[in-house]
Amino acid sequence: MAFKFWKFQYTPPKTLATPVPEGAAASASVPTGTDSQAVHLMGRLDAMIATSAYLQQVMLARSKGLGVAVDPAADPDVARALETVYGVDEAPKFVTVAMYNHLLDAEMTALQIEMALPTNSPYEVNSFQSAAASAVTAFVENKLMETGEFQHQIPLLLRDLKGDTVIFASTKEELAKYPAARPRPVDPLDAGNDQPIKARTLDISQPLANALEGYLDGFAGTYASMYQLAADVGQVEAGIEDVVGTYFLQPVEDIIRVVSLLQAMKGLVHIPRLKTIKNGLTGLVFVRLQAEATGARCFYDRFTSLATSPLKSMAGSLGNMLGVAQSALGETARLTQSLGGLKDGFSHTEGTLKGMSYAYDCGLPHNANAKKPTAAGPGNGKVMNALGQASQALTSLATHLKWGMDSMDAKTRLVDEAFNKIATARLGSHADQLDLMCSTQALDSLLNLGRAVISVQQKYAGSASPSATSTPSKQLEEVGRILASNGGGTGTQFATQDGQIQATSPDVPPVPADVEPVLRLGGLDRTVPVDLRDINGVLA
Amino acid sequence: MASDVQDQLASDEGQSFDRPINVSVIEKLKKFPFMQELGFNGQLSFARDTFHGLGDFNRQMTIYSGTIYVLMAPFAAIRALIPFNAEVTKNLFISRTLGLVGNAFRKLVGFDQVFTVSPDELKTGGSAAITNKLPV
Repeated sequence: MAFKFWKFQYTPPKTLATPVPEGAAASASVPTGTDSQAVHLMGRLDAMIATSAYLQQVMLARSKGLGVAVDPAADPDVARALETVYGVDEAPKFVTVAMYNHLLDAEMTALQIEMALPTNSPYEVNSFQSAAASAVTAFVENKLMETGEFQHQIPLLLRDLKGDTVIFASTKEELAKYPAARPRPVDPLDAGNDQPIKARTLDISQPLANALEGYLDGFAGTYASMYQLAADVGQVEAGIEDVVGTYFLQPVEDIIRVVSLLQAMKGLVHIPRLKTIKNGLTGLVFVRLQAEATGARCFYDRFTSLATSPLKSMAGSLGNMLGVAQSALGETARLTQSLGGLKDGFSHTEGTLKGMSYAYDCGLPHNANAKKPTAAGPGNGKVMNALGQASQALTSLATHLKWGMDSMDAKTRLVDEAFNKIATARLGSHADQLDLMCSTQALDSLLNLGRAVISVQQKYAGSASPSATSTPSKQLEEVGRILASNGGGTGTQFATQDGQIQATSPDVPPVPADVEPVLRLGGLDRTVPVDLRDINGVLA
Repeated sequence: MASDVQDQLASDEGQSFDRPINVSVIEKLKKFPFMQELGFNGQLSFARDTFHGLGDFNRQMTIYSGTIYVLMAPFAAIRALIPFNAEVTKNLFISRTLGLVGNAFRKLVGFDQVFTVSPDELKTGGSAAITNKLPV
């Protein structure tokens, strides 16, 4: 007997050709809401971060060759901190401004890590390392401030700029939490329709957007002043010939007195004031405070838009419901009264329809002793009680909602006030520091010019033939040579040409294209010389 | 050398230190044991010379071995080694700023760190650069 082999044949079912739609993956991440206020503000914050980074480069370019010597015998704590930070057995002999810049970066990074770590996190920043970095930066800052020289104050702006960057980055992250700023998939069902769920398209509220715009405008003004202070010729140096001419009209003894007075003024007024500003709360602590206040303000803004505002309209509906319930209660009372009157009329012993009830049983009470329908009756009473209870419940609900909303409004106002105060304090601190630095720059210029004039006058005081050398142009040329050889003390470069002193700006990196609009917005016009006094109230 | 501000430092001055500093993140639970270790290491130099147990050991062993003649020879073999306190001494190093301290002080930078964050990572990744590194 022969067996036939079984043969299995598989015929796949007919299917429709379903090609993979092209660009499906791309459409899933098409960013929407690019025209939202939050996205616009994020763009502005990017520009501010770029400006801050550029200004940091300017400050570093202006501080080449600058550093603070560290003596382990005189400052063992600082030397130990340096060993800790760099993990070496022997601390470096100098802390250059470039090193100071990296130390500040580490300090700000530690701050950002602390802000990013969740509450009750089992992790923390290595406190030995961050404390060591802070000790070194504080040491460098104090040493730079103590000299009272404008040139040495320029690196101090690095901390302010880095702190601002942390605040801007944190604000940007908060703005990115608004649904309107998030990339979300394009849903064909959404096209042309208003979003029924507000949370999907929620944007920053107009009052907060305006506040942030104003805040950023303030920073733009500050940055323009910073740029002008660090990269342009100082106010006194711009009119150097007039100043030198005035000096030459004075006896040399008077110039010596003026120079001493200006030097003393710096020591007695400018240095203590600058220390007060730099060592104040607006340094490191305010950065975190500002960043967190901004986060809280954005959170309350989202909460108000999503929860409180819709509740306000709901409270209005509750009021209407309450009115309807109360009106229903009145109707029931009136109906009960009418039924009572009708009963009186239908009674067969008295009333206008006396006797009719014998002929026609209408279902109403037939004698005067029968109970009249009242508000406390079995049916009506239930309705009225229910309406009364509903009315009370609605009143209670409306009261609680109003209390909740009022409390939320109060909290929002408080956070808003805190945000505004902190923002004003930070901008005010920047303005104070720039004001002081601008004044120090002018004093340094006057001091250096005064010293150069004294040197020239003393040189020719004992000359055998003063007539040959004491012409104003010769003396001016001599002053120019001195300034060109030792610098103006403020970073401005001097050159003498055709008997005239020319002051040129310090060498700084060129302004990038994305930074230019911010500086222009801040009041910096690079085509027309602008008096520094006219910008943002500096020295105004 | 006084700690002064210098205007004309050579361009290569401090060049080896001119680099970004990574900030280390540690586990809170490991902080106290490390502080204990630091405390012990901070006193290690004193322990080397004045460790009471070792002093007592030396004194008592001298008396003990002196009483019996046969013990004097073996004690003489180890007697010279006692003051060296080799186990402690090998863990010491001289720090210019702290003096003679234990090796744990070399580990102050990033002791038992879980991860580090560099300033550049924050510039590109924002705070997500930190949260992404947190162990799950």
